[in-house]
Amino acid sequence: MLSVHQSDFQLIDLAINGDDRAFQHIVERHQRLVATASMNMVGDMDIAQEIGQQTFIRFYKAMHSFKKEAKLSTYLTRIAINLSLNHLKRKQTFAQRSLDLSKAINVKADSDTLDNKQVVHMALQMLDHKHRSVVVLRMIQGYSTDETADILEIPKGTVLSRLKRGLEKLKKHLKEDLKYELS
Amino acid sequence: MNYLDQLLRKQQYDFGSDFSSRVLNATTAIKDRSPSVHWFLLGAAATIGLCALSIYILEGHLSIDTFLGTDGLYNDTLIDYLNIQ
Repeated sequence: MLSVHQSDFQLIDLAINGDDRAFQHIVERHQRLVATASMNMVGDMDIAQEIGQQTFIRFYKAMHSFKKEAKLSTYLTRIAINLSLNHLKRKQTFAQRSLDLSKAINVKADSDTLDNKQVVHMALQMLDHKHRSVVVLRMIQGYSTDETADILEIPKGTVLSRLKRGLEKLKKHLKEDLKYELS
Repeated sequence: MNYLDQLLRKQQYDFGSDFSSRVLNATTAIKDRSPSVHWFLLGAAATIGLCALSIYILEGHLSIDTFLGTDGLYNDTLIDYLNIQ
């Protein structure tokens, strides 16, 4: 019998033994985390959903060998971030990036009705991948510096320097490109 | 916590209520595509059964020796031994 109190590991054991409802429960429990990671990274909900689906399918295939000393949330975030980075590397040519940037600026220039979330989202998309991934993990998803370093497989010092630089760039994009006042 | 930190904390998203069902459908499709252990076992049993049947037709009877092809080996060995004697 499934309950909301069951741990991720208990649900994984049930799912390995063929309980589809347990696997669905894992997806429901972690989909928000995966959605936040992928949407903030790729900036498009359709692509983010595709990445989200791939994330859980990859986990499903590797579930038997999942090491239970790792946190499932961290494991899923790592897959989602890696798939997002792969997508960005594959698709985002310099020309496309410039086009997206100018489109974002024009949207803001034409409209003052965008809410804070949309404006911050635009500014995030203007960051390069390496700074964006650190800002997303540390500031949006609330992972510690150690966890962020572990997910991105980079040294802690690199996380700290990318975070500092990423936040500076983000403020600059908000103020200068999107004319947004940080009060 | 400064204002930018607060704004960033609000950048949360969700895929919607039907997302988990779509993932489950995708994983079910994967399961359906991969042959289960049951089919491998059935295939192995059918192969052994066919082997046994063909041995029975060729030899007229079925035993461990005929199945392993060692029934002639014992006789040959015995004849060789008698010849030497």
